[in-house]
Amino acid sequence: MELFSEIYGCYYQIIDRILTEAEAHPITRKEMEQICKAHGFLESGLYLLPRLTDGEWNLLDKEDEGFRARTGAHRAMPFTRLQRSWLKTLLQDSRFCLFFTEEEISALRQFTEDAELLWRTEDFHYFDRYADGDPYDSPSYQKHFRTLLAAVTGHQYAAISYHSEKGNRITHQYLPLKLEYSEKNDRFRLLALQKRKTHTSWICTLNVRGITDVSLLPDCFEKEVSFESLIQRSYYHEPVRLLIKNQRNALERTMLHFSNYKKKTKKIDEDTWECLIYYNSSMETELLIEILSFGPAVRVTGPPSFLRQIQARLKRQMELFSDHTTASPS
Amino acid sequence: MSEYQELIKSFQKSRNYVRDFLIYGFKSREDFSIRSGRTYDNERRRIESWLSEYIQADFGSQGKTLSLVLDSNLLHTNPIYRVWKSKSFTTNDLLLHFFFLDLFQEGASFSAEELTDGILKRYDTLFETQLIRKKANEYVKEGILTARKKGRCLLYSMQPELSGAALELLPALLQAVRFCQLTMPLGFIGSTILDSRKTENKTFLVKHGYYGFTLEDEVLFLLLKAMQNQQSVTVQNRSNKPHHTQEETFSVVPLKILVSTRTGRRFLCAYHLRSRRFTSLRLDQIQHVTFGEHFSDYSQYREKLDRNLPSCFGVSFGTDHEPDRIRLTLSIREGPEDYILHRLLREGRGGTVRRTAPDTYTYEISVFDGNELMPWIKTFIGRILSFESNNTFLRQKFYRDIRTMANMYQAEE
Repeated sequence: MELFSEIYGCYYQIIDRILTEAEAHPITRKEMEQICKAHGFLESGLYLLPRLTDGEWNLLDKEDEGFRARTGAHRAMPFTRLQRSWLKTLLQDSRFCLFFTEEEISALRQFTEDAELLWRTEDFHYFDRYADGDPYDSPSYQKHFRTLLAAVTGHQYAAISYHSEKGNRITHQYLPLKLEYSEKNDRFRLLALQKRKTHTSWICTLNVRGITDVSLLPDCFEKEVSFESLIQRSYYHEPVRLLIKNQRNALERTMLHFSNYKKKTKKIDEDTWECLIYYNSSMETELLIEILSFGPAVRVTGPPSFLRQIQARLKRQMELFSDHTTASPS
Repeated sequence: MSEYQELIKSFQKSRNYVRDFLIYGFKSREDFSIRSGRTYDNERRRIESWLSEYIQADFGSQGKTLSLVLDSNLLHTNPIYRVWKSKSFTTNDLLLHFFFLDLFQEGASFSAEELTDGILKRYDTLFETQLIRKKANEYVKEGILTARKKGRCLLYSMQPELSGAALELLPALLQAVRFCQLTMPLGFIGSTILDSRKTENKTFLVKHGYYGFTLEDEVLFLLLKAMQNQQSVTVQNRSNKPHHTQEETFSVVPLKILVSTRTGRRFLCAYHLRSRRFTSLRLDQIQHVTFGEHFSDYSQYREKLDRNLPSCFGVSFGTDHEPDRIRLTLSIREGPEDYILHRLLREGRGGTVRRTAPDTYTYEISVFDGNELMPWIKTFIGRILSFESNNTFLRQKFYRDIRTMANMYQAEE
């Protein structure tokens, strides 16, 4: 079993698609180019197409209307041992099991019977994961999760009753867009648009475990919602600007830590770098405390509103120290 | 000079380049002095080719710099998986793969000789039987083909497709895989399942997704294998310090993988045979893993580690001195600021939280290495009434850092 293998490679995927088309009908070079462009790397077509069309690979025959496959009806590659092993290993995980009924789990166990486990649950220790993850084994949680999944995939409106962390109870109609999972919180969230006359243009976030009832509505939203533009629009115009001095290996630590944000970094002088981090209001507090965690190794220089929040916290901190008699030894 | 190709033979060579582009994103040609300029040019061209949608080029005083711009709020898969899909192959590999998929229809079985004849007859292509047998045996190992003896002859068949109850669960299975390829260890394998079923994920997103760490998956894969077999390993470690690179080799017994969900960093937690201590090594710094012998006391050390882990705040087992005891007292307005109290409880990793006065809560913990708490404690800046510890160095460092920050942001009293 190998991870880095040509059988999972991009070129095999492209040829698989080309052969599937060319087994059904003659395929033109242009159509092959389109497949390369959609599924390949930037220069894949330059390598693959001459070899496919000039006969070097003996997979296609030239006909008047294009190229026809020499293969008749090749099968999809069956699940490999590596893939079955991965699935068998995931059966230990309650998040994976959310997607299946008891009968389906039994069928999957049977399907992966001869495979070996790649790891055991206890082989991993997520040492900074929050202690209050979602209740994946709860039947009502599972029911809500599956209904939301159906709503997202079917672009179907749903009526949702929700109990927020602040204690508010609400019931609204939503167009569920995505299910977002947080590694840190070990929690699913629903990203949705609230339905009013049509629906709102900002994304609402609901914790799945806060949902007390959900039911699918008969209406579907037929048009494509551009999730990307909704997210892009939510970003503040000005990114957070950080100056990073490379002390205590801060450069590598910050670059790794903030690699999940959209960011740009440039070198200012021999040991100073500037990093721009793009964010929106839902990320603001988290980003702020993450930056504070780096202490003096990282300095925020803008935007002013963000800088003011940092200054206010430090000012308050210094006030607490001066009020609290036991604090701040010299 | 050999022709440039998008595909590569060995993953290791490109691993550090991709990591540097992803993590730093500001290095120019001159910064990659470790290899020749031409190697850099080829690696850069490959990375641009694999990840073209995510590459951004900037021109500045340093010359051209490339960076990977990933926004985890928008990613339905890990773009770095594309690097895993770049393995080179020979013409024979490719042809036999697709000829096998075509010839081995449901229920068909062939000997290597029959395959040789069938391929010649059907595709007008002649292969040596020996070569076909070698490929077929390779596919048996991968679980694509099965082999059974019939008399003195070995007959190959293709693994059956999903059928019956297993086929019915395919839609649910693919939905689960769409989620797990983003979130679970070795998620790359999930992405290959989606590829072969010609489907993709449009349903799930991940918050706090750290994508560069898939570059360590081969190391992880080998370490997990050693853990299942209860074997020792020799790891070649390279620490990526900015101004020098330190290479070391350790003989260890791999016991657990420690993962930080806040940084994406993953560590091998192992028993170091020479120093007879538990140690943690960053997976992204491990360059090579070699399997050693079976370790007969594996379960015993694993249990010992499980007893020790509650005293690690992160991954450090500290030095030999006594545990660091830390007491943090915070000002929390009861009611409107209860969410801070919840933070202490859910992020405190076993520390105790007590109400010590109205609107005042004290968090206490005893750990091997108190330094690991410092970043987390700084997230409470603006609410800290006192920080106490038996470790004088930590206490002084904490107050010094806060004063430096106050000075930096002109927030002094």
